[in-house]
Amino acid sequence: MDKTFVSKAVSASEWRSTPVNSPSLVSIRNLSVDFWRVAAPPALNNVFLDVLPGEAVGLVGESGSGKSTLGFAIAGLLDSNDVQLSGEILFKGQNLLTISQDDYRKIRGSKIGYIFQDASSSLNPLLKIGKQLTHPLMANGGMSKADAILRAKELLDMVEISQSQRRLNQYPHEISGGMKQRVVIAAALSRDPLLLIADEPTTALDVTVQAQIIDLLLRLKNSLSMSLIFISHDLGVVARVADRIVVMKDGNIIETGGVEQVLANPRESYTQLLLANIPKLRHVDESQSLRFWGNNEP
Amino acid sequence: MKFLTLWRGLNTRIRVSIYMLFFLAALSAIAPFITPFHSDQMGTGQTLLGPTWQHPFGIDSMGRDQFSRVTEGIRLSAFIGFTVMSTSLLVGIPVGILSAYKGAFLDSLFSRVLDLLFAFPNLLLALVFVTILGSGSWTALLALVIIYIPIASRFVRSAALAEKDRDYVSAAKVNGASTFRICARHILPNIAPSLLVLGTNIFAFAILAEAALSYLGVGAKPPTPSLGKILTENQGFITTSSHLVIIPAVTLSFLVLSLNLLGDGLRDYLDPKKSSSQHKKSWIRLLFPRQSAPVNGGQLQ
Repeated sequence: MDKTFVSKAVSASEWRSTPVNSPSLVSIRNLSVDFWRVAAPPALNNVFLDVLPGEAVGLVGESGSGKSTLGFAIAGLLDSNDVQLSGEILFKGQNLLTISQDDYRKIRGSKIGYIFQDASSSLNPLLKIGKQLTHPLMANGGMSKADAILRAKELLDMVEISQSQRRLNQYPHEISGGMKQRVVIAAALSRDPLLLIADEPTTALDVTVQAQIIDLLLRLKNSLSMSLIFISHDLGVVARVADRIVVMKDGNIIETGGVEQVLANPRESYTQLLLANIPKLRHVDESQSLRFWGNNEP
Repeated sequence: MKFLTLWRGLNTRIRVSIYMLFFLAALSAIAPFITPFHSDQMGTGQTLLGPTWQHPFGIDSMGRDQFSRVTEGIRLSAFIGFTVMSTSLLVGIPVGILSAYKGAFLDSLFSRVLDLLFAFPNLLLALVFVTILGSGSWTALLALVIIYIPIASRFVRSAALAEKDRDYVSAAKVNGASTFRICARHILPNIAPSLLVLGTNIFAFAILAEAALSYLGVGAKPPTPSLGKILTENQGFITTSSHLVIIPAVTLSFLVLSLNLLGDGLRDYLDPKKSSSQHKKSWIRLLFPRQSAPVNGGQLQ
């Protein structure tokens, strides 16, 4: 992969006109996702999105805006029994929606990593951490067991887990939540993916750990020069991580642009609303706060 | 050492049921060596004899040693229970997991076939089989397997349905795991605890069902000492030689009770929400397990 390629923010007019043979890693064209069983508007509505190699795209929007559905669609986690998919998802020029299940599985296994929101449920509670890291390496990477164990230890070191040798023999319930999320990141990165999709990776963590995980993700993204799709409703987090922000609402992409541009000069009123809804510390009225703390004097 | 720790960690019901099952197994295993009489051997000279040292459970109306018949019956029941359990789980696990994981057409196909089998009352289905194939232990076994396969499949399917949408299954999918791998390494081990409980329940119910079929005369054929068959043969003598009915009936209840206790104990032992702490060991607690213990001895502060 071209490691020197670092994208700058692409403006709205630019990304819409990206040609088909663009250098994009992922190119989503006219993607619609409709759940069969729900009589509701489609979860995704004619979405266009390009992700360049090495670029970090932040997907923001409220709950139900379709940001997770977009991530699922790229990773192939949408069950064709449940949804109707139309359009194209081009991954290095290959349309993921038309290739065979087996090819899709191989691409997923080797080139796409996915980090789920809740780390504690994305690790199999019955398998030791070492097993969970080495199995995909042996199955998809074709490594020998000894190599896979070495690689797993190296991955745990990479995500800054201490005593990595010991952790390999521990079960998920024996380590902390932040550490589980690091293990999940290590698992997602184990086969050097070209694209990492992080679906609210910090929501289930406390604020200190959140900051550590985001720092880690950013450092890894830069050192491994992979593309990152970062899904979050937390604009503060996205502002730190992303090169480009994509704002979604009701299954549509309503605004896209560089971080500074979207945050400083949002074009859409919805983005302005979203920005205005970031909780801020306000001046606290002294008497109110006293009453709040249980001083019940009239 | 590890075994001892595990053994101490088990709850009382599991341990008592293991003692009970071990007792029955030992009894039926050593019976051929301690009594010289074969279960079908007639003409010991006497009929309808009460318990003696030579014939601990007495002699039935045809002069056969009841002790060898009952112990033979335990073996037969255990064989039928185990066969029905393992066969229905062997079919039910792949069918249930695949139907839950694959969904769509496969799920509909399997579910409709199961619906069809569920539509017949159990005993009626068994009677139909006996009418077609003729009565006998093997027919009863086949009928029981066909009755319990849909029950096992449906149970496995519902357990797997709850498991397949967990994040680690999706994670394994993104990591490129194959369908077989996801089903065998991720879904199956995580539903295994409830399958263990299901297995003991099927074991117990199959034993009861086989006894019922034999009692009705559609199961084991006359010389075969099935516990149900022994009950039918001797029910005419219940007023004069009641031990001929009571002993096999109690044995059957003992066997089923021990299996149910095992299933019940396993359910509690494998349930992560229940505390594994051992309460005071008591025989009352064996049958009436303590409900959630009140905090602070139930007193308000």
